[in-house]
Amino acid sequence: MSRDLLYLDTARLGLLSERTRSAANALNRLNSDTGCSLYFSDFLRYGSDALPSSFDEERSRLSTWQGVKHLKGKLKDLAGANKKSEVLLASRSAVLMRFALRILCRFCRKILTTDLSWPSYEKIVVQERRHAKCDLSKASIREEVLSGSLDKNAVVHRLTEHYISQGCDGIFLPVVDNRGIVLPVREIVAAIRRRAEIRFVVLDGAQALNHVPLNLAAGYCDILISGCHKWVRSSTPLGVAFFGMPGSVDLIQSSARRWMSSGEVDDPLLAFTEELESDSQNAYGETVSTTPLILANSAVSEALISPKHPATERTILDSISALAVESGWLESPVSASLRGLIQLLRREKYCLHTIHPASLKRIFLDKGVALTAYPDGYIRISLPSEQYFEHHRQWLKSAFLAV
Amino acid sequence: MSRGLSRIQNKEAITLVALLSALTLAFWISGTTSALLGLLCLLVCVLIGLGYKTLQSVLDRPKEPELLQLLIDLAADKKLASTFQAQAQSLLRISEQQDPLFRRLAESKLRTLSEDFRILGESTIDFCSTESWRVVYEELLKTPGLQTYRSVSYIQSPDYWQDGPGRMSTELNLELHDKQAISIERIAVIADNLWRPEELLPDDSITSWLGEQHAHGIYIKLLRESTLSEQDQDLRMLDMGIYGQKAVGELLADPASNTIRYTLYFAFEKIQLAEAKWQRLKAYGESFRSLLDRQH
Repeated sequence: MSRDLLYLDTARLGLLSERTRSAANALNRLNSDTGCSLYFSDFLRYGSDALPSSFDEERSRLSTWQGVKHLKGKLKDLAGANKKSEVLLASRSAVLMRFALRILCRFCRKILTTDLSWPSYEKIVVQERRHAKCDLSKASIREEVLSGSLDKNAVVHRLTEHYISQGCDGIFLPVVDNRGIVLPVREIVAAIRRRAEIRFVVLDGAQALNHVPLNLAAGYCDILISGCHKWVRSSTPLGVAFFGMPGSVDLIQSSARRWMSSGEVDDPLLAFTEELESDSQNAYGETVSTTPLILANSAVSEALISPKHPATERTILDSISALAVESGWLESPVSASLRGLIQLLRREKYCLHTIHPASLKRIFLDKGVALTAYPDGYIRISLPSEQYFEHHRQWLKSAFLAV
Repeated sequence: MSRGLSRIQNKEAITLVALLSALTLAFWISGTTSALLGLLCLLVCVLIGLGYKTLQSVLDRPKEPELLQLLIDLAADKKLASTFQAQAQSLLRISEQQDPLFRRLAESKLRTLSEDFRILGESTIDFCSTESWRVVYEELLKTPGLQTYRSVSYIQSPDYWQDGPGRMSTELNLELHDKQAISIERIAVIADNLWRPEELLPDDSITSWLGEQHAHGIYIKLLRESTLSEQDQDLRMLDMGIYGQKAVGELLADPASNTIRYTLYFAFEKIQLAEAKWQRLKAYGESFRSLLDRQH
């Protein structure tokens, strides 16, 4: 945390923790000293123990790095996934999302989506479904959720009915949308499964990993795509795909192999991590930045050591909201059963539709608060793990009053 | 034949009229009035009779304009018109041949050909005892604009689609589905001896064949042959492919999976019927992926 900034924008980019920052510095030094020598290759492949004794300090600071397989294992632990499940790592989540949606569109005839999808991912699913000649059926729930008209049970019921009535056979949903609406995906999938067949489920977990409990071992989705730069707080983007349902693991693995080999899926880090794990080597492979791997490893290790306390964090968030309400702001009336650690707020007295989001953001930044603003006058606050609130109460209050 | 007969009858009638006219002229010149009157009456009667007969023959030929219309319609299709012309000329040459043995053999052959024509006329093509249908199958799957291919496989042998041509067809399925050229779904109806009730999945070779397709994203449903109810016995031994809205192919194979007959239907009603069968079979099947999920 910067000394003069209250950072409330983890939903956009999580801040590096002290330990991860220290690992990043050590990595930079190792990189500048060893370049692309065998030392560094061995370090990447086998972990920090492979470094010679002359790199004692780096070895100590990077001690959590034990190779790609270990990183994948830690990510599985963080997502509550089965040990036997699989993980793919890529430099961009969007590459993995396109991959997942391509399988979904080829395997299904009609896909259930909602208006909560991240716009870039929605574009991808529209493109992929056009190529694969399958249909999309979008359920509109956003406005009703934001206005508090739908709670968790109502959302489950609405989406189940939509799926059945529209004859859908595939699902693409966000676990948490960018405004913090937490969809009860597990309950939705279970309710649909009781009444109809689901061929394939893709979940967007960009805002979910290390934010809400995922418990992937419960087997409610075929593939979940997430990243480490938000709630895991590795700061550098690293796309992660979790999969492992017995009925779809071969389909996903085989598709990944074929499409990587044909170039249909093209991500240098994905290719490199698969090489590292399989102990193979492509002499003509693309040069790739490995920093995201090391930082994600450090951040994930830290997240596992110091797990989140959602109840405490929710309390802090609620007290920030209370402060906002005291200062003339309105809390978004989203049902508590659909809320995570993201809070939407709106100024009560003034019409903020006319204020450009960048200007709104600037007003808060001038008071030392970093957050996200939306065109319809909402601001989004999302908490980092540390508790800053008590030290920054005055900043927040003056920021809320300044608008 | 009847036209020839009618031609002969017309000649006789004209000769009779000419003879009567000549006699009338002779009597008129010789001057016997009563005989002349009698002959004139006879001539008028014959002419009335002939007129009546001509009228009747005109009325008896209502099909001629229909045939004419048919020829005009056919002329619009140049390729078929030339085929028709060649066939008509051959028929004419057959009609000129009077040998009874030849005529009998020709008529028998023509009956077979007429039946083939009738089948073709119903937009149906048969391939008997040959794997050559796979060439057309490939052509159909590669048809531009074809979006879906739904296949029902009746599997009564572990060697189903395991021979050279079968492997090639499988490869083609995988390739086209992979390229998103078409979207493929399959229902496999499996003989009970290849999928025992106590087993979660069918015989290894079948599971491996289905698993390969599943790994390429082809959606598959499976059912045991014995699960079909009494009312749905028409779905037993059904091996077919629905090529979008274009055609339906039905395969009849022996227990060793060798082709006995492959019939391709292009008629829309047949496609609708096949789709109805597909929906009924779908209700019985369990998806391959859910069986895999249950396996673990």
